[in-house]
Amino acid sequence: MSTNPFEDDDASYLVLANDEDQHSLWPAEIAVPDGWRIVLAASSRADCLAYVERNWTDLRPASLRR
Amino acid sequence: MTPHPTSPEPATAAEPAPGTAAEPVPTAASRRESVPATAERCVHDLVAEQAARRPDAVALVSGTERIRYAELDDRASRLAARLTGAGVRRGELVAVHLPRGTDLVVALLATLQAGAGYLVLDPELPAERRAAMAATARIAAVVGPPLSTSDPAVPVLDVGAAGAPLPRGAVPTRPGDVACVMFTSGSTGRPKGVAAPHRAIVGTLAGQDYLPFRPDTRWLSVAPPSWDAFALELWGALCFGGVCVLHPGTRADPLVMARLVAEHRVTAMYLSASLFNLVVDEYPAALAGLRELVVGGEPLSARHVRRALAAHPDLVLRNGYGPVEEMIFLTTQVVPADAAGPVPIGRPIAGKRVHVLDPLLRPVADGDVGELYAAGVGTALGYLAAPGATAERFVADPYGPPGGRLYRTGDLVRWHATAPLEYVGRADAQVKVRGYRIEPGEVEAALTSHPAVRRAAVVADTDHRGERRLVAYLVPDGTPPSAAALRAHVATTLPDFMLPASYAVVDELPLTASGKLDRAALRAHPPTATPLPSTGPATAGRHPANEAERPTVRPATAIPIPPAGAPPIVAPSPAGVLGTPPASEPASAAGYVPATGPASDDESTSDVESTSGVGSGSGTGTDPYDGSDRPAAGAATAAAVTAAVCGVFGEVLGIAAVGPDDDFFALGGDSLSVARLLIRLDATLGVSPGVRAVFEAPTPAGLAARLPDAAGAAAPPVPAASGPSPAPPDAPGVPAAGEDAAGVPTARPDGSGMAAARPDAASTRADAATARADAPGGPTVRRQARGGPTAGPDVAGTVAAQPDSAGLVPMSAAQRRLWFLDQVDAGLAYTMPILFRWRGPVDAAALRAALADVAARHASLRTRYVAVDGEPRARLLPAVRPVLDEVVGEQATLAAARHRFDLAAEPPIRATLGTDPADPDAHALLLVLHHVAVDGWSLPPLVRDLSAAYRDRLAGREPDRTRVPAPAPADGTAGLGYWRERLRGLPDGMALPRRPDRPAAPGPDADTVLRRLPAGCHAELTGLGRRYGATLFMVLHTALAAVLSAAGAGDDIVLGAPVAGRDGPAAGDAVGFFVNLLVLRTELAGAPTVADLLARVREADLAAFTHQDVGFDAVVAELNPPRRPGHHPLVDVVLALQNNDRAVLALPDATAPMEVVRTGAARFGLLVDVTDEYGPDGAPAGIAITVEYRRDEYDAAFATWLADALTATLAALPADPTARIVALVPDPAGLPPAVPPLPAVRPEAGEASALSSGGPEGGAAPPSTGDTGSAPAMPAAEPHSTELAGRIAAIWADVLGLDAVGPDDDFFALGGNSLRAVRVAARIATAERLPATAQHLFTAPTVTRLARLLATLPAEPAAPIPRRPRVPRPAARARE
Repeated sequence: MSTNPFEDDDASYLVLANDEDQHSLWPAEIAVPDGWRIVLAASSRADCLAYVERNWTDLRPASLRR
Repeated sequence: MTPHPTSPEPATAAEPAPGTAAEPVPTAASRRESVPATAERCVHDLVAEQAARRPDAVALVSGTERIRYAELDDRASRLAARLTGAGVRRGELVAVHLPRGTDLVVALLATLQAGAGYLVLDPELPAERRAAMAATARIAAVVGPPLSTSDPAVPVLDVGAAGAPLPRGAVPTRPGDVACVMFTSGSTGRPKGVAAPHRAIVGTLAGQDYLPFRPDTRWLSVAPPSWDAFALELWGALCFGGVCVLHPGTRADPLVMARLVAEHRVTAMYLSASLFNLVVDEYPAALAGLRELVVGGEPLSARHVRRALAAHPDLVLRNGYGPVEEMIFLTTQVVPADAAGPVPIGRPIAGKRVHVLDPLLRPVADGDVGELYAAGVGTALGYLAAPGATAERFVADPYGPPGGRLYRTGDLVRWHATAPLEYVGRADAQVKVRGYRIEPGEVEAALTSHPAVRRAAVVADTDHRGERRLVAYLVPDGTPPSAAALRAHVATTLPDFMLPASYAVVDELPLTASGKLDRAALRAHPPTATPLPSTGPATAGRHPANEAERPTVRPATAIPIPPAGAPPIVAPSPAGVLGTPPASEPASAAGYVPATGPASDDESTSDVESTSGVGSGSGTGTDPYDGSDRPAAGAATAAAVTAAVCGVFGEVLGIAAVGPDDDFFALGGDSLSVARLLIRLDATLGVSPGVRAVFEAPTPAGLAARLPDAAGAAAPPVPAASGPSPAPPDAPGVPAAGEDAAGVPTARPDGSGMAAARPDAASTRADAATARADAPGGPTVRRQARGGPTAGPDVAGTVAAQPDSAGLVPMSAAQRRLWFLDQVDAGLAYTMPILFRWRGPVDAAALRAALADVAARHASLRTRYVAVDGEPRARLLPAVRPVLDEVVGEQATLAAARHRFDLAAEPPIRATLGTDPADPDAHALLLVLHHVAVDGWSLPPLVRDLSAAYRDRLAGREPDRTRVPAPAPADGTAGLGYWRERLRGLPDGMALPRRPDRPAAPGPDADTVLRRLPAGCHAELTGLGRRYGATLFMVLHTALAAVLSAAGAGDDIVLGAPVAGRDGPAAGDAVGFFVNLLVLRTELAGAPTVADLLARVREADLAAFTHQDVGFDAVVAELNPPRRPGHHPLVDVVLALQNNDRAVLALPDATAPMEVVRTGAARFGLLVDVTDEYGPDGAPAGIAITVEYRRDEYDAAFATWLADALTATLAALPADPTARIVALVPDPAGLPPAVPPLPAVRPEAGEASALSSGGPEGGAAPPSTGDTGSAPAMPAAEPHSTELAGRIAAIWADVLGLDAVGPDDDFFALGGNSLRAVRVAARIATAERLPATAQHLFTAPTVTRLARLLATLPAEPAAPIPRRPRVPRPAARARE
C-alpha cells in the first residue's frame, strides 16, 4: 500500500506542462505550482498517463531543441 | 511548524478547511534558484581543459597501460570525428559496447565530443537485454563489436586511432544536452533508461567539497561502467586532472582491488555498502592507503564502519545517498569512527535540494518521516521513450523556481531540524540487493514469461550472513520447471544481479482487493513453499546464450603478470664507468607484486600457451587441462584440491555438503559471494583463480582444474599491452619511471639485451637466499592476515606495537636469530649492498634528506638493535638520519659495500654516492642494508619510496612520511603439529660429497658456479609444470632432489625454501625482515619416474605452503635437532627461485635498475639460486642458475658437477615424464664420497683458536688436522680451570634456570639455545674479563671443556660482547 499521492489508482489527477514542454502528473487536490499550466483536466491516473504518452514526444527540454 | 532546513520557510498556513486543496506556500526566497556557474559546463570541455593544462599527466591506468591526458583527448577526438562522419548528431545516443578499459573511456569521451550521449552496454548482460536497451535508446551508432540483434542500418565503429581529429567546438554541445543514459530496473518489466545531462555530472562533481576533486586524487574504478557511480570514478578524475585506475572487467575482485590500490597508490574509491561490508569482513587490507572512501547504494552498517576505521584510522569515510535520477549523490555524510546505529545519509551537496514531504506534499515536522523529493543540478531529463513514467516521477516543483521539477525518490527519510537526514525505508516494493536497485516487478515479469509459471512474487530477504538476496515464489502452471531451467530462462533477459537466489513453489499468492500482489502480506506471512528441484548437470557458463556475444575485441585490461625482464646479474666491471647502467632490459618498475596467476581474462591464458611454444611437450597442442595425460598420482592430488574447494564453497554459501559438480550459482551464489569465494580460496590454497574462472567453471571440480592454471603461472606472463613503460604512475606532471620529462618512454632494449648478462663470468650477487622465492604453492605467497595486516604493529617484524618505558620492543624470532648470527661474526653475510648507476644530475642534499624520509616511513629502518643482558632488544627511534657519504671514484664507492653495521649505534641503512672524476655526470649510489631490517622483498618498496621522496625534495614538495604498517610476523605456532609430524625422523644432515679436509665449522666465504638454460628449455619446463599442475619451483625442486639423491644424499631429501612471509598485497609496501624459511621434504624411494616425483613434490610443497605461518625458528625449537657448529639447522641445501621484482631508482631524469653486489659471504652451505627471465612479450627467455657454495665445505669440482647435473636433468625432464628420474642425472664420478656434515659430537677443543672465521651457528674451527674426528691432546686439568668451571657452572645454572649444572652436562641438552649461549658468554665476559663468545659454547658445550678453553685465552680488559667484530677479511672477490 502506498500513501504516495502520485500512486493512487483511484484518485483524480491533472496533467501539467511547463515552458519546456515537460509534462507532470499532478494530484488534482493539490495546488498547481507556479510555472505549470494544466493541459489535461481532472481525469483518472490511467487516462492521464495515456495522455502523456501520446503528447509528450521529446524528452529534451524545448529550449535545447531550438 | 519548524522550518525545513532544506526547503524554504513556508508561511504559517491556517489549517485548510476540509475538502479544500492543501496549499503549500513557499516563500519568495526559495524561488530564486540558480544553477551554480561551475555546473554549467560540458564534461568533455573540462577534460579538454585538463588536457591543455597538463597534457603529460597520466589520466588512465589499465593493466600496464598508461594513457596521458593529451593522448586520451587526441584519440577521443579522432573517434569523435568518425562518429560525426558516420552520421551521429548532437543530442543523439551512442551505444558503447566495451568492457571497462582504456578503449571504453576513449569511446565515452569521443561520444561526448561528438555532441552525443553515451549508453554503456555491459558485454556481460544478456544479449536480449542489451538489444532492448539499444532499441529504447534509438541509438545512432555502436562503438565496439556489433550487437547481434542491432539494426543493420546503425553504424558500428571500433575504437581505433585512425583519422583526423574533430576540431574543438565543432559541435556546440550545451550543458543541458544529454551526456549519458543509465538503465535501471523498471517495475513493469522493462528497464528504464535515465537520461542525464552534462550539468548533472559536472554539477555533482565541480564546486563540491565533499570529496577532493584535484589532480592529486587517484581513483580506482570498480563500479559497473553502466552505472552512475562510474561517472564519479571516471569523470571525478578526468575533469580535474586526477588519475583513474581501471579495475579489469565488470565484477569486482577484492584481491585485484587490493593490489591495484597498493600498486597505484589509489587515494579515493567508491564502494557499494555490501561490497564494503565484505571487504571489511574478509579483506580489510584492500583499503590500506586509501584517503577517501565513499560508500553508497544501501544503508551503511555502523559495525563495519567502526571496524574499517579502527583498522585504517586515517581513512575518511563518507556515507553517500542518491538515486541515479539525481546523479550519484544527493546527500553525503562523513562517518566518525564511533558510528553507532543507523548511519545518517547527511546533508545535500552543493547545487542540490531535498524536501521531505507528507502525502499532501507539505514539509513534515521535525522528527517525522516523509518521502524524499529532490531537485537541483543533478536532475535527469527523464526516462527514455517513457514519457508516462517520467511524468509520474519527475513532477512539478511547488518549492523551486517556476516550472521547476522535483524527482520523487520513493525513499522514506526522517527529517530533523538540526541533524542530518536518516534513511528509513522505501515507500514501494523497490529493493536494493548488493547495491543494485531492483524492482521486484521486473523480475516477476521475467518469471511469468516462462510458460510453466502462472504467477510470481519476488521479495528480498536476508541470508545467514545478513546479506540481501532475492527469493522467488511461484504459482506454477502445470508441472513446475526445475530451478536450473527457470534460472536459465530469466537469465536471458535479466542481469545476473537480478536473478533470484532461490525458487520455491506455493499454492497461491496473497492479493489485494484490486487483484494486485499484496506484498505486505507476503512479507508478513511468508508462505509455506516447496523449493524447486535444483539443478541438472552444472552449466558450463553463466550465460550460455551469450557465448556468441562475447566481444572479440580482447580488452587490454589483463592483469599484469610479473613484468618482463629480470635484470642481469652484472658485475661492476673493473674498467666500468660509473653512471652506465647495464646494457640490457632495465628492471620493471618497483613494487609490483602479482596477486593472482594469469589474468582473470581467460582468453589471455590461451594466448600465452600458443605463443610460448608450450605445446612442444605434448606435441599435439591438445588442451593441457583435459586431464587425459594426468598420471594417477596427479589425480589423487586433484581430488584433494577439489575436496578443499568443495569445503570453501560450503563455507561461503552456508551449505553443509557441496559436491564436486555443484554449480556455485545454482546453490545461491551471487557476485558478492564470488568475491568472498576468491578471498577464501586464496587464504586456504594460496591461489585465486580470478573472477572469470568462477563464472566459467562454477563447480568445485571445474575450479580445482583451473587452480593449477593459476599456480602454474611461474609460467609465461600475459603479453603486456603495448604502451608506455610499466612503471606505476606518479603524481600527474611528474614523469613516471622509465620515461623522460616529456612523457616519452625511454628506449627499452628488447629481449635480446638479455644476452648482455654474462652468466659465465663471475658475477656480483647479493645474499641470494633472501631474494624473493617462488613459493611452492604458487607464484606468490600470501597468508590471510589474522585480523588484517594493518592491525599489526608499527615496528617491523615485532609483535608488540608499543615500546616499553625504555623505548624497547621485542623482536621477532627470525630477527633475533639474525641478530645473533651477526653477533657471532658471520662476516658480511648479513649485509645487502645494492648498487644503482646512472647518468644525470643528482642532488646529494636532497638524496640525504630523502633517506631520512624513507626511514620515517619504515620502522625497521629506525630501529636500533641492542643487547640487554645478552638478549637482543629493538629500540624504535622516532627519526633517524642515515648517512650518505659522497666519494669520488668507483673504488671508493664499492669499498662502502664492506661496511659492517653496529646495529646498536646506527641505522641499518647507509648510502654512498659516487661520482666519476672523469665524467661528472656519471653517478652511482650504493645502499648497504642489514638483513635484520630488510629482506629481498623490501627492496622494491624501499627504493620506490626513496625515489619518490627524492623527487619531492627536489621539487620542494613535502615528501610522504606516512608510516607504512608492517605485516604480522610468522610467529604462529598453530601449524607446529604439522611440522612435527612431517619432519619426524629427519635425517641428521644431508650426505653430500664434501671436502674431506673441511673444518667442523666452515666459514662463510663462498664461490659460485653459473649455468644457463635457454629459452626453449625454459618453455618446455613450464609446459611440463602445467601438464602436471606444478609450478616452475616445483619442477626445479624435483630436479634438484633427484640430483642430490644421485650425489649420495639418499632417498629422504630435505631442502630449505625462503618465502616472503607477507600477507596481503598491501604488505608489499613494507620494509622489514619477514622472510621465513620452509623445510621441504620429499621421498625418492621406489625409483620414481619424473611424473611420480613431480607429483610427490607438488603434494609436499603445497602442504608446506599451507603451513608457512609457522616460523622456521619455531620449527627448529620444536624439533630441537643437535646443533652443528657452522651449519644451518635442519637444512643443508637451500633452493630459491628469484622472481623479477627488482627495485628501480627513479630519478627525475634517469632511472637506475638495481644491481646486487656480491659480498663473498654466504649464509648457507649450499644454495641453488634460480632466476627465471622473460622477454618483453612475456615469453620465457631462459633460466639462470647460480650454485653458491662455501669453500670450506665443498670443492669446486662438486659444485661444478652439481650445476651441470642440475642443468642436464632439467633439460631432460620434459622429454619423457615416464622415465625413472634418477636415471636422468649424470653420474657423479670422481667426486669425494658423500658424507654427512660433521656429526654432533664435538671435538676436544684444547687448542682451538679463540676466534675462527665464524659460522652461522658459531663454533671455533679446530686445528686442521685433516681428520675431523680426532682431537688434539688435552692439557692437564688445572685448579684454576676448576674454580673457573665452578663459576661458569653457576652462570649456566642461572641462565638456564636450573638448581645446579654438572661439569659434563651438555649445555644444549640442558635447554640451552643460541640466544642463551650469547647471554652466558656475555656474563662470563663481564664477570671473568675473558673474551668469551657464544661460539665457545658450541665448541665446548660442557662446563669443564668451556672452562679449559677459556683458560687458554689471554685475559682482556673488560669488554662487552664484541659488537664490532674483528677486522673483516677483505672481500677479495667484490669485483668479479
